[in-house]
Amino acid sequence: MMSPDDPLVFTLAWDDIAPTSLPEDARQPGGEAFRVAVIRFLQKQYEPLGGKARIIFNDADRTLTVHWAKRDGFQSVLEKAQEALSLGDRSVAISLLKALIARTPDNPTQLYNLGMVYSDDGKLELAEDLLRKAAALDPRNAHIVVAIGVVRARAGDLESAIDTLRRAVEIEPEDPFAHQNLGACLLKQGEAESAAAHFRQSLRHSPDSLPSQLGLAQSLESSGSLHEADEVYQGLIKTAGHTPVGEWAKEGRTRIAHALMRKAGSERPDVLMYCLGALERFEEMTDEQIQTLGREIAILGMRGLDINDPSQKYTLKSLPGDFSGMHLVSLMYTAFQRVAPGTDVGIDLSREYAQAVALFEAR
Amino acid sequence: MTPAQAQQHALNELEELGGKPVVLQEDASLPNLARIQIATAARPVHILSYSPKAAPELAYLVCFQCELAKRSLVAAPDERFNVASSADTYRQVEKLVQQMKAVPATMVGSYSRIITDGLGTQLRSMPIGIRADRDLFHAHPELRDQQRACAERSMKENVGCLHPNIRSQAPDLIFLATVAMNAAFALAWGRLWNEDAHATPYRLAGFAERGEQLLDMLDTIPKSPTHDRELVSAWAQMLAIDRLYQIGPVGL
Repeated sequence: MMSPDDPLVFTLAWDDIAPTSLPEDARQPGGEAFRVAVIRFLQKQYEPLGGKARIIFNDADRTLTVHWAKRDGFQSVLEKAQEALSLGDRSVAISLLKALIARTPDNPTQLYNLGMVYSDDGKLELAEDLLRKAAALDPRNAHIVVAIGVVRARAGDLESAIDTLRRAVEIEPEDPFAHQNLGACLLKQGEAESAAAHFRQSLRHSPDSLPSQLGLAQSLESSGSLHEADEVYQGLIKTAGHTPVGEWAKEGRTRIAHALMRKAGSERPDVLMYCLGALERFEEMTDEQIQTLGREIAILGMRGLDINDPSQKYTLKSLPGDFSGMHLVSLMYTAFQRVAPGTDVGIDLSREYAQAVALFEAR
Repeated sequence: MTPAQAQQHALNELEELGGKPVVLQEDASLPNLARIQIATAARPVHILSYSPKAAPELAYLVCFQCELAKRSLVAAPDERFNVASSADTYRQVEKLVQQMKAVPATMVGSYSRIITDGLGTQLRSMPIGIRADRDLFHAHPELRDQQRACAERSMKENVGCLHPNIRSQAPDLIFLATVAMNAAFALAWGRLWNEDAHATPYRLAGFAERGEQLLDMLDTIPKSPTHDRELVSAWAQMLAIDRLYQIGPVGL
């Protein structure tokens, strides 16, 4: 059995070499022009791959034997460009890709790579031009079609982006990126339920994709499936931590908590009582103590406070006792109203707070 | 995911899908690197055998075999198929081999059987294998080194078929079909790696175009396992060997 390190070796009879591989005046097997043409053909094939090729013409049995072995650590120009991209050296990557395209303009992978770079740099016309050339050469390549869809979306043409991405999904029904990008465009277009379906498809094939998880949560939130959206956001907060996706998930949970609270009734008597209790407690506290309390709750809230489950209790350093999530949020809201009115604390308790102030002042 | 995790994940998925355990066993007598035998009524486990030589690429080989098994299991029972040779197939090939007069008369029978069965196995496994490999390539970047080592080893062996000694013995029908499929295999990897090294011999010998046509079939026929039989039949027709083999339900 061969080892992966063995060279590639093949032997062909001169007569088995396809005439169409060689120029018309070099097709006479064994002649000098034939040998030169065969060597040129092989050079053209193997030169970009590096390594060492040995070509032997066996006159006795009229055969050709080729040995080719890769050089350790050899990188093709395309690999060098891709490495430069991964290291963030975009100008080097662009120069290498341009040089490659100048040499072999019909290579869809090269056109795709440069198109993607331009797309990420916001040079959308250049990107689309290259990507469309790549698609013409390799029309069944879903990645290229997805990239065109992304360019259309970035250019603000959502309808065309959606059409293009639907075509990508037709070509490659299991491509998670096609579904993810289509979901994102549909969500922007206001078609949240369809978007959710595509994010789910994306997650079927790429379950760890944070953008698809976020997209699914946002789609569910937009379509009113708040509890399911909240579950997805919770999972994201655990996995994404303090990344931008994690922060967006936290914001999503806050919005959902707010919406669920408002859904429960127009005004919450428990919130009114928590605000009133806070106003009374603050009478005996300095502004600095109130500020410290407000900040501590805000920091706690960054990890997520469940304001819809009164059985879930939290403790504070700056105030003794066990508190429900809603109690803490009411304390925080009141605290900020006292020391920094107008601060957006991510939840609107203004109606309950106004009534609490009225009751407090009427005592 | 590490290669070991990918391997475990593939085994778990197959067990969940078929509701049958997978037994992984080393088998030094295996002619190739790995093989899976799907559970039957008489054998309530899937048996995945691997050669001791497969150790460096075991994770990939397990994932690949599981992928093939999953494709068979996902297809409805009446869509599961075999590529079978019949007595008539062997007779036809023997006749072609005799006409070549390149193999000693005493060996015509066994030689014909070997090349007929080999081509049938290649037809059954190669187009579906390319699909499974493409899926693994995209879904499991952590397996790519092992996958590449296996693929390169296969391609270095396959290219031996172009040798004039082989060509002079094999009937054109068998030779051309084998080499066209080998060309398609090399071109498929070339597309994934963006590297044409292994397709070069086939380009020089004029088989690349037929290889591309076979690969185009993979793009034309839907990827779902329920279309695997259609794909194999389309390849057989394109290679003009559709009358040689019966491509039908398991156990035909």
